[in-house]
Amino acid sequence: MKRGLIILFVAVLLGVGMFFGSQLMLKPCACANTTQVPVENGSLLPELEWLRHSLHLTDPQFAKVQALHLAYQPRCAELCMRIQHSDQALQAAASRNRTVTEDVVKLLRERSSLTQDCQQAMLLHVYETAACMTPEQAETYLKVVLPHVLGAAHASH
Amino acid sequence: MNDDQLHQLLRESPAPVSLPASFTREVWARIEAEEATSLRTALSQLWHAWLSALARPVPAFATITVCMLLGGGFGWVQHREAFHTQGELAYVQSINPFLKMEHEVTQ
Repeated sequence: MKRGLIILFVAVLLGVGMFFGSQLMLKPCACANTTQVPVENGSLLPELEWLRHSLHLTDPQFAKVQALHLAYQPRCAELCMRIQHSDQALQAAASRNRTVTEDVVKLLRERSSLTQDCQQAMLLHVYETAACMTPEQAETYLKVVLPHVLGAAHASH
Repeated sequence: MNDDQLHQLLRESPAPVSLPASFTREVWARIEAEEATSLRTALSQLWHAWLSALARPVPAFATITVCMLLGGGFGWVQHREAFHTQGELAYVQSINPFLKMEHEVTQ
């Protein structure tokens, strides 16, 4: 009986070891080793590899999605910078006074307009990307991405 | 007195029996206690039988294999889920200027 207990303990220990071992072995995901991952400025884009895996994109589909993604990046970075500047300006204006000044109202309007620009740009990009896919893939893709684009994902969490 | 006469006599003059109010409840409590003990005993016997069986090579090897497969399987499943969740977030972050900005601020 004591021997049985020892064997059971060893079995559980090996099971736990396999759990963590598999995590360690799988950690550097396949996307880091593949040569097909797009590279921009020397950095890998594993998010596209996730898209390829989860939607089972073919090579031609993936090439189109990759090209669209890379083409969208400068626009996305520009919008990101504009949001940062807008937020900083709004923060500074709101900190200067304890009333809602005209300056603050103007900056709030600009921020709203910027939010709209960002959502339009994202929607356009998402629809262009979905157009590279089959209807089933596009449906799955839009189902996952649209809540994030429209801000509904934040509300539901 | 023969049996028939005895039965007749017993039927005509039943003995006055008064049961306590908690009689039924106590009987069921004893039955439940007995059943619980027997279940515990059965489980204990099963546990001991299994441990004894583990001392033999084949069950021992089988148990170790099952545990390793379960461990590896759970690890693989968890890694897959994490890959999907992280991948989805990374993708959304890469196309959403608001999330991109948050990401840059936190870095």
